Amino acid sequence: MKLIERYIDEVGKHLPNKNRSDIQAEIRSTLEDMLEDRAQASGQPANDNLVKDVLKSYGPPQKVAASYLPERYLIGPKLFPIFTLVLKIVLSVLTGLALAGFGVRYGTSALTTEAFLTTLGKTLLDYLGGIITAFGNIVFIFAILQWTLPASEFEDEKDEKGWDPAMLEEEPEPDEVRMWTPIWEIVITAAGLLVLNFYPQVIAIWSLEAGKWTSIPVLTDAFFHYLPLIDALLVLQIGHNMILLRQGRWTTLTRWLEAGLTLLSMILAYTLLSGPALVNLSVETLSGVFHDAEAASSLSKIFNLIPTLVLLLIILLEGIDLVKNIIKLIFKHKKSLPLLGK
Amino acid sequence: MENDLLQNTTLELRRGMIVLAVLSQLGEEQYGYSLLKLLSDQGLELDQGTLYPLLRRLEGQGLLQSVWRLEEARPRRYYVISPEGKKILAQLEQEWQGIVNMMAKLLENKKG
Repeated sequence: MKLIERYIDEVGKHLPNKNRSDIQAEIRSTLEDMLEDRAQASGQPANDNLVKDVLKSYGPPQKVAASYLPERYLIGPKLFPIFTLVLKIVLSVLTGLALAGFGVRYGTSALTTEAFLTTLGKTLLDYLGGIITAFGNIVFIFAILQWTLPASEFEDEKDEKGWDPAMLEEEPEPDEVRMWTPIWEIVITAAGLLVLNFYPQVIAIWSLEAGKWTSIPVLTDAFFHYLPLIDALLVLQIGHNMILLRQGRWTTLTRWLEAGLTLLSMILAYTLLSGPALVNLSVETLSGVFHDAEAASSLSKIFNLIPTLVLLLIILLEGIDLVKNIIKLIFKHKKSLPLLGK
Repeated sequence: MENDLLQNTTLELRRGMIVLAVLSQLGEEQYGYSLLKLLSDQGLELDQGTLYPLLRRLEGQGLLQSVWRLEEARPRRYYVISPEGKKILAQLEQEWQGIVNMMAKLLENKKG
């Protein structure tokens, strides 16, 4: 009989205080009934072996206790969509901060390949640490909400009454091309081509001296050496946007083209980054404009750093774009597989 | 795999009717173990882990009432259907008849 008491104690350990003694009393009563039944059936008085048989058939204490409890979640299904939304927002912010941090760190370092790798490593470690901390904190907050808020707080009115199927029409199709995007990109790219090839002198430091505008050219010969490559890429981008505009939706071909152009942009940006300086604004040149050696020195550093930061940003953003595009291509491919079988 | 699927589907099928089966047998007071045997004698095998929590839940919902009684030097909790439970039982019985008729029709006209 001691075994029955131990069993009941063990079940009680996993039950809430509120109902514990009541449930335990009911289980005890049932176990005794079962034992009596088995003893009668076997024609022998209740003994330890019969008790063990009864307990074995009643089930493991933890499982028995669990059957009295409602389903418990760390973060329940009602809160989970909000949880994932918050997670996405926080992760995006952290990614943005990491990218900016990487740019600033690398920009203020020696600008060598070694410095690039060291900065990248440090940034990735910080990013990883940040993600783990943020994830832990968000889970902790949502777990507290799950425990403390009554279930009715999670009810979404929109789920039932306010939901209107017409809302589905407002959702853009994932493959649909929003017309203004390619138009805007064509205009900007064409303007860039025009300025870089026909009016490069516009890209300069302008100053008004005694009522007359003077300018100091910014771009170096190295930049113009790469210009045909930049032109080719920009023309391809215009062509790609024109195809999108004409087709009105993304296809596998245009997505691959986009991925190829993104990769080319990254390669070109890396080539420009590792080649000679694209901008040359010496302290002496700037002193002629700003008449302050200290200000000229600071501005020279900043101006000469801008192309590096811009190119780094291009590599990182295009990298993200490339991954997104490839994921979309794979996802689209997977979705279309069942159709192939038909 | 196939057996697991069959077992799970059968369990799901039975789960829905357990409430009706339990309510139908509690017109007279029963304690948990006697109800278990009563159901078993009529072909419905349930384990304690399913029945006891269900009895508590139905009591919490006001469909059953319970009382502790000392019998044969052993305290037993007796359950009986409440007036509210009787109303629900009548409606569930109707619903059940509808399901049986509908399923009979569907299975009679099954395709393929």
